[in-house]
Amino acid sequence: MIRTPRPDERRRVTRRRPSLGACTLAVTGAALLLGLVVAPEAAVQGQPQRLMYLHVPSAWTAFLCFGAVALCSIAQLLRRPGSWGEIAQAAAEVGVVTTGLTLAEGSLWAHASWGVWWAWDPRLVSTAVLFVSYVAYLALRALPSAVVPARAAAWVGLGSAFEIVIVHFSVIWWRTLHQGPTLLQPSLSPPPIASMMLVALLVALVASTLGAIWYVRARVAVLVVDQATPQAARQLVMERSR
Amino acid sequence: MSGWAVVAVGYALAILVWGGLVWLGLRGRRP
Repeated sequence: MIRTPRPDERRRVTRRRPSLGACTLAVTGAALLLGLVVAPEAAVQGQPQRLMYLHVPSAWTAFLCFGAVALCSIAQLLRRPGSWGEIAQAAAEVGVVTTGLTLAEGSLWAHASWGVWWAWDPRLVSTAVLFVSYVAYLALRALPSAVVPARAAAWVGLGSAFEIVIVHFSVIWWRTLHQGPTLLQPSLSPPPIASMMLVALLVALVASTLGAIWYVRARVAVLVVDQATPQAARQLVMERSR
Repeated sequence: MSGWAVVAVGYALAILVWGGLVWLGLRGRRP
């Protein structure tokens, strides 16, 4: 649908945020240093365990983004003013990419520690279903609103969020090859890993979260410009170039 | 693959995927 951006959307597009980008780069650099150099080698799994500093943050970021899609979908369904559709789309894009990365990193790690690239395991299968669900959500949003109304896509975005719960609890509800939760244990006991590994993991979680926030904010600006009328888009571009 | 080779592939993949997302998603940012 073609529409003119509201003044608050225009301000959001034209505002520059070098500090968030710089902060993301700095924390990402620290995460790489901690994960590859500072954190000790795992006693049993060896070096491949360092994939944890990519695998877990990717999964966390995907959950966070899909949670954001659900919240934006609720706002859309309640007809709240704001760029909820654009935020949901940007968050879903990050969620799909990080879920794909979770599966790929997990596959590499599985081959190194289990000896197989893939297993029909509840955690792996539920994560793959989550991935396909949000690819479908993005496909629905890409269709013209005359074919699939925005509210229908919002229902899919909201409904798919229940899969996050299934993925998270799959290692608790069913017998699985995949290890149980390290940070969010049901007993709330301290994480059973070395302190420097925990620090590296937490910094990587922060880096991935900041990267997702940075991308979503920048991507929403692009989507708002894309949907603007040619005159409004030209005005936005002129404001940005000042 | 040796332990470090697996780690190298994993980190390279992560950099490529995030880089691809940013490139594809934001290339129209400054038209």
